[in-house]
Amino acid sequence: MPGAARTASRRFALAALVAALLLGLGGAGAAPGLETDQFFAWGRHLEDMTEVLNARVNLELERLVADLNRDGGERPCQKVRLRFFKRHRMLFFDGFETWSVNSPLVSRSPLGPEEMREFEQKYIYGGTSPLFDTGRWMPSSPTVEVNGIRLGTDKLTHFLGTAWYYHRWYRKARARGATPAEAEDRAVRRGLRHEITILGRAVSGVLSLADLEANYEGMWFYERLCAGDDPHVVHEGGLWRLRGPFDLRDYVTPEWDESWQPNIYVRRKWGKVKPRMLGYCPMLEHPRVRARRREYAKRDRVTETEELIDEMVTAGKLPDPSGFSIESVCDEVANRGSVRGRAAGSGLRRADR
Amino acid sequence: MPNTPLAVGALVIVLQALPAAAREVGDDARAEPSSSETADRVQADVDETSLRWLGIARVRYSIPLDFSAGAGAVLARMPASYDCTTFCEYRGFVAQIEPGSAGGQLGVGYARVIATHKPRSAFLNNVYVGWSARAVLVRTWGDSELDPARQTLAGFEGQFALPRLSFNLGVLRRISSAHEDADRYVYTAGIGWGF
Repeated sequence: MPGAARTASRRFALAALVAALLLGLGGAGAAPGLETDQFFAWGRHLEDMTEVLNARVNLELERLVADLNRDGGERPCQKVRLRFFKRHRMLFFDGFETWSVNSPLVSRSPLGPEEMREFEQKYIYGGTSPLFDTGRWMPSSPTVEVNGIRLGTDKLTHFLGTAWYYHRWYRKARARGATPAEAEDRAVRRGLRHEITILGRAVSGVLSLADLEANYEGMWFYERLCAGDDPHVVHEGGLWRLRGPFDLRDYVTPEWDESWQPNIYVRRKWGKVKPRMLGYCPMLEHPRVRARRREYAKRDRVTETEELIDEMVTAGKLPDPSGFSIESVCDEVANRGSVRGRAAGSGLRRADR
Repeated sequence: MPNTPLAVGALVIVLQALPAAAREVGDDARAEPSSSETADRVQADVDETSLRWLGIARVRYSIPLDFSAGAGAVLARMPASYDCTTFCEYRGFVAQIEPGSAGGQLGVGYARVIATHKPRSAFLNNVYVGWSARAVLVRTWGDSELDPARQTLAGFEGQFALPRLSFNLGVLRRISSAHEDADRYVYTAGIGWGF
């Protein structure tokens, strides 16, 4: 019956519109976010999780080896990499991240309902709209400490999940005759395009350089998984075996900490983030924060991702990330006389590196 | 002449100190990625799983149910230690019953959903992303748009959920008797909140 069908279609369209509006508003208290906030963890004690996270990844590598031996025979390294990736791939988040945000063995912040409530009050992205800020449609990633470096657990998804795609681009470029350096460059550029468009800035208003760093390091993890001079997994004497254990310390750098490596924000988001960041200016004087940033300054280096970002900044394609750093924010206020230049004298400025 | 006992004593102390010094140098070298004790604890944490069920609920507008409200459960296996305060991925069996203004539906199938639940709550609270594939049995009634208004259908429904919205599409085949001109297949679509 065409008349009835038209009526049903109209009613359906109306209902869809009403549902989108009402349910969107009704869900305003839903997800804290897709991002991570290392500022919240400033001054809070966290156990170093290097051993625990290494053990978790090595357990999966051991199981990968067992699977390979069960199936028998040699196989191309790329298939081994894919098999490892598939072992922990989950819906949206990586299996390692899911484990790290849930396991009682992982010291993290926020942890437990009480700290979670405090986090929701102080969350660096808490000033944005939970309805219109797509970054808040997903849960935020707590902070963990690895080898003295604070990082969001989302970096595990970047390092072991997103990096798989980086590595695929790398291998593709190599297969087309690119040198390792050219292939690396192509993968990193493509990754940046993704982070600017579908994965980051255009969607959530944040371009996370720390995410890019984790992606980049993960690309090398996948490359070394079963190839190169020192692979983790080898096929010898008709059997697969774990030759060298995985160690996160080979990959994690201070650039993974988003309170050290500033994100690049779009204007609408920055307007909401900056006031919350200002609240952390006094914390720059906290002994633990000072000590950590001093240590970071020693370990910081110019990474390949940073070189690419500098190139984009010079070409006017991206704003300078140093303008979004905590020091820059605090200096700006200090220069206006609201706060005496606490940050200026700290000697721990990432922007001056 | 040097004090021999004193010199010997000093030498003994130095020699005894040597292994300790060597050990200190060794400590400066990089430690193993993880100890076997930690590895055992991690393995136990990963391998000790439990079955959990959590309530699910949704309200939606759909063809052919019109406005409906559903309640059911997801049964999923996951490490027993998971607290799911931040999020968990529930993968497993799903069952839901859903009465509506123009019909009712019973669905069973498989679901994968990333969600959290409030402490001491038996229901999924925040659904972040998820999907399900369900076999459904539908009985229409009241002012259903279908012809005839009262009929029984069976088929499949796919659902995709985002933080605030949930969409579903499906196809049903009439299994009850009807007049000759009646459509045998009905395509379903819906939009709503929840899972």
